[in-house]
Amino acid sequence: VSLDVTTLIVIIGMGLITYATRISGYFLLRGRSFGPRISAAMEAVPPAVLTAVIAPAVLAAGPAEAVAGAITALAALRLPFIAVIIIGTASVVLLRLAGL
Amino acid sequence: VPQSHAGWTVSFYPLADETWALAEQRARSGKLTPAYYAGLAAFFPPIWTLSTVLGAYFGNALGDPAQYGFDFVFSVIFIALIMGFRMIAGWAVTVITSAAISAISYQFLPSPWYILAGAMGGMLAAAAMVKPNLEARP
Repeated sequence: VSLDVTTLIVIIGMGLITYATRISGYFLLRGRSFGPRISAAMEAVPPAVLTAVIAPAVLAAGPAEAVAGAITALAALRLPFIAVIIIGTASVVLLRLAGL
Repeated sequence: VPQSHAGWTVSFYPLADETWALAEQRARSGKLTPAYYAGLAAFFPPIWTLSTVLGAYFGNALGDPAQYGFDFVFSVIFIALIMGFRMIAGWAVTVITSAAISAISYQFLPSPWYILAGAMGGMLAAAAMVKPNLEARP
């Protein structure tokens, strides 16, 4: 594996920019308080963002992925994290083998 | 929670989607301690990096990762994380709105923008769910 200088600079640059996006939220928002609607919107950030990231891969990829996603969500109601991962992954493999 | 700017600045370095979600859940279900966050920071990034290196060197030997469902593991982990937030008020409306907007806008928006559209939609839905009489309180 070889690495040229341009690639290295791009990797370091992307790392710095990504890191800047993380700490900027803290420095912009610290010490402020918000009304109930803004607070509710900010409380909703984790599920809203995580959902938006995967929705196409689960809902728009095909029936096997959509059904496996539903099975995963149901498993997550009761089971520990590692069991959910195994069940969700196994279900997509089986559903694909089944031709769904 | 770090007490200093330096503490905050350092603590954001190992922050990734997964560590962020687990730290947020810990903060909501009890108390997010420096020890818990240090545990995430100590294990998550090194294992991610190590796995990436192993994959880069040996990944070809496995063949198509889709045959083991590895392409779907990412989605499975995110679903489990999303389900972990279901105690938040308005969670169902947030998730359904975000999923619908993201999956639909994915059909015509390029890569990062459907995420922003879905996330903003989910946040707006959560804000809209707030009862107006709560706002009247002093």
